[in-house]
Amino acid sequence: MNTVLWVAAAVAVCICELAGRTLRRGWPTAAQLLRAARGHALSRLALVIGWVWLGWHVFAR
Amino acid sequence: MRRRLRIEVSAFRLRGGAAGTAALDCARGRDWLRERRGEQANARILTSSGRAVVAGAVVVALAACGWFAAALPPFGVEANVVTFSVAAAMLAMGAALPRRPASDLRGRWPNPDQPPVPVAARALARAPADAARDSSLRVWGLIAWLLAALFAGAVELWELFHAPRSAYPTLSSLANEVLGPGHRVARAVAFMCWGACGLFVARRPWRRA
Repeated sequence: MNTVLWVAAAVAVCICELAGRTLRRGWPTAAQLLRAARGHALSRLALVIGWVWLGWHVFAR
Repeated sequence: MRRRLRIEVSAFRLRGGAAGTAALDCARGRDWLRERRGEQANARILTSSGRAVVAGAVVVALAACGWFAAALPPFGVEANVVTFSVAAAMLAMGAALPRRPASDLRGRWPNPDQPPVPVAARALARAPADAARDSSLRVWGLIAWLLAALFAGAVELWELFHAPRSAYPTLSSLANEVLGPGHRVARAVAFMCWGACGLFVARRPWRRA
């Protein structure tokens, strides 16, 4: 039952990405969101911190 | 190099214009491409070979580090040292990578006598209805992405505060089934992918004209 929730979340993300790639104009893809986030210092810092935390969480803990 | 030229040719083909000027424009486009090839071929070849060597060295180093880190027991000092060392190296390398030159091939086909028209200026020149549609789609897209992220976060919190973990798996416990200490190859590959993402995250964004 609870795996279904994860599948639903993954489907929601995939639909958003597919909409961005199908509609093309306007609707942002994940890559465009990440690129926009890298354009600002604070959001870029948040990305870096999240990336370091992910590596520590998966490979060191 | 080939990909860049293909993009340039595509930009030239996509350029609008009267049919009567097509032949003249084709000739000018060929001349323009030849000029660009002649001016920049040597520099690009040297740059691409240098990039290939650096990229190969980074891949080999990441693979070695990943294979080594995948065998380390979790919650150990060695695992922390390897992870944070690789993170620091990737961040430093990503920050040192150069930005893309300030040219935008997605703009109008560049006339040698005129500066290229950037994408932003071309967007302003579009019909107001198209611009309004794009803006509306952008807002709806941002809302949809936000809802999807909130839903994923809510699922994670719901699973996190319920037990047992086998019945309420978090994202970490699901990933642990694939990337746990017993799966050395998958763990090493994941380490490589994580390191490569660090290059992307730390690299300064491209500038556009």
